Amino acid sequence: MIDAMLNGLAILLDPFRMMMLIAGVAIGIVIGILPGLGGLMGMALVLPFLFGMDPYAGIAMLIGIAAAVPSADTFPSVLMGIPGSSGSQATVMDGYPMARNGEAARALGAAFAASLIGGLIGAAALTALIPFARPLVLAFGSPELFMLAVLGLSMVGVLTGRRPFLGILAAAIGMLLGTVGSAPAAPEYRMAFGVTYLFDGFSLVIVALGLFALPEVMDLLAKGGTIARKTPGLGSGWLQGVRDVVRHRWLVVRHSLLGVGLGAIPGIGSSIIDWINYGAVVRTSKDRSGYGKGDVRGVIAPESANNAKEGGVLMPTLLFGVPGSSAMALFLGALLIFGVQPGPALLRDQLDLVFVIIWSLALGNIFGCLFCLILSRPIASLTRVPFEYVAPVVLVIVILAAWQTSRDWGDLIQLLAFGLLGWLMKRAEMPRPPLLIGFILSPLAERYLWISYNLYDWDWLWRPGVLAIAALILVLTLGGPVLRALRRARGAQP
Amino acid sequence: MTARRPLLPAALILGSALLAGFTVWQSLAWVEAAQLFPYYLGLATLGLAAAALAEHLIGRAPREDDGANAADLGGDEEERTPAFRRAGLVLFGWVIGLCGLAALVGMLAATPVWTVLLLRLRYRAPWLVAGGIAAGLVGLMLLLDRALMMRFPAGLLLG
Repeated sequence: MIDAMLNGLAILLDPFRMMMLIAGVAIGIVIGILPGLGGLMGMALVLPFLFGMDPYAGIAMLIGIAAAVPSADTFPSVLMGIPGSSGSQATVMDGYPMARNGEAARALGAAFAASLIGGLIGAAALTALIPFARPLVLAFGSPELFMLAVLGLSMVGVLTGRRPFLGILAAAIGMLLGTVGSAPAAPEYRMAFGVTYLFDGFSLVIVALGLFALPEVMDLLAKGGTIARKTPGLGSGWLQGVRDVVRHRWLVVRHSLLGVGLGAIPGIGSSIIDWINYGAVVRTSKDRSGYGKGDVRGVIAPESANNAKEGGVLMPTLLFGVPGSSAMALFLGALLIFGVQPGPALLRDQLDLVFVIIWSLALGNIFGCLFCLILSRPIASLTRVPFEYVAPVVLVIVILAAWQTSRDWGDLIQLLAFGLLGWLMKRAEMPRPPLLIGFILSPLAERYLWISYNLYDWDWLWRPGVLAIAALILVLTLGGPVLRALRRARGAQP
Repeated sequence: MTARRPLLPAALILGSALLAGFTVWQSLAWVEAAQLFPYYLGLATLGLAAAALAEHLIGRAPREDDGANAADLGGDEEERTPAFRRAGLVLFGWVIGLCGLAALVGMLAATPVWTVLLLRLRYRAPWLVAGGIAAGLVGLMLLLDRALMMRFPAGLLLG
């Protein structure tokens, strides 16, 4: 195995392959910075150019994109409160308030340092776990996947804030909106009213852009001035962010491993991993008063996880030929273009290639995070520019990103409708993240619940994996309040 | 004397209840496999809407020390004023205007016109700045077209 590891590195260090890796990283950074575009778009973009290319170079380029997007998508999340991609939605919650407090560079520094370590842990975990990943991936059937969706929904409890019913209602509305379009288990188009555009349901990218981007842009324009409202400078700088990551190193390790574990399960999207990690860090923190107002831990946890998960999603992709994410589906296509057949035989016959992928992931993360760290100071200075000069650029990019979904006027109508809904929810202090989580999880929950019920009736409720995840949900949702009640009771004793 | 409770949350709750009720009613016409999830979800949402309305109307006002405040991006006092809401709605009108203009003349032509109008009429920006940003935006769009093969909305009058 060590031989294959060194051989893989030697193959990748060829100048042309390294150049392609760096080109992939550069494309990933551009795609990540543009709100609403993700790794899927980046890979789709370069796929036509891969025919005839050296397989190692092409694979390095694709992995470079996959590694860089989760780092670069932090820029719009932190600087403008707009999710850069579906995997950086939760970063908005504390990254953007930090930028408004004049700590944009610190938030970016912390995010990129956490991303770098997370990415390296993801690559290391892929190396260490790939021989043992088979039972882990196979242990997750539809019932366990349904329970993971419920685990994601339980995070809503964290995000409901001070009006629990209003927050849970928002999640339920998100789930209802997620049922629009074709039913997963029957030939039925629900709530589409014969409109072809609605047959596919609402788009996650547009819902996220509408709920978060438009209201933020309108509010910043209405206020006038700059994004950074408290200090005229960029705050204590990105080195402070790096120091924050060193201070919270165990948090980085914990959430990176959580990211790898969740990423290894096919069907769990990057947004779910992001929100589960954000919910978990809030739930397990003793002092939660700073979350939502600019707590650096709220940036570090999801950013570590969203880079680490790339190592996880590669496990089912390489091991079974089952794509761990939508971007990995394209990567799988690229492997087939190069004549590589993913599956157990890949590990037996082409271990060198597997290590080229792992080294590309590790080096792609290092290059991506270094480029982002270098760019963070100049890009963070955008928060000092009067927002009315930045707003037209942001709005046009948001509209163009929404338009790329299906290039239909329905995309823009949907964007405006969700923009208005997000703005009204913000005015009514009805939390928007639960709506987004409900929307993301609704199709997954419905599909897996239906399959589980069909396959096992209600017996699936007694599967060990289901019970284990149910116990985890109980610990995460009730553990904190029970511990606090016990502490209070102990404190009240004479 | 008790403070008046804001109407907007109540309106959103009632809107949610209407959506849930409509979903339940619609789902009765769907086949079982398509009906089950939205039907029970709709019923649960109706219950939640009733609870949220009760919480809003008769519950105590939330306090700062009520626990985790990670619900959403926090707004400040300025954002709660009627003037701020009016300004937000006017700006939303500007965004609709951009989409409408794009529907007429296409995004590539609408963007510079709209940018100059917004910056000149609303923010009194100097011509040079407004023109510079508009030109930069057109350049960015052309770059996105060439480099990322992005397509833009075409207008009814101009392509």
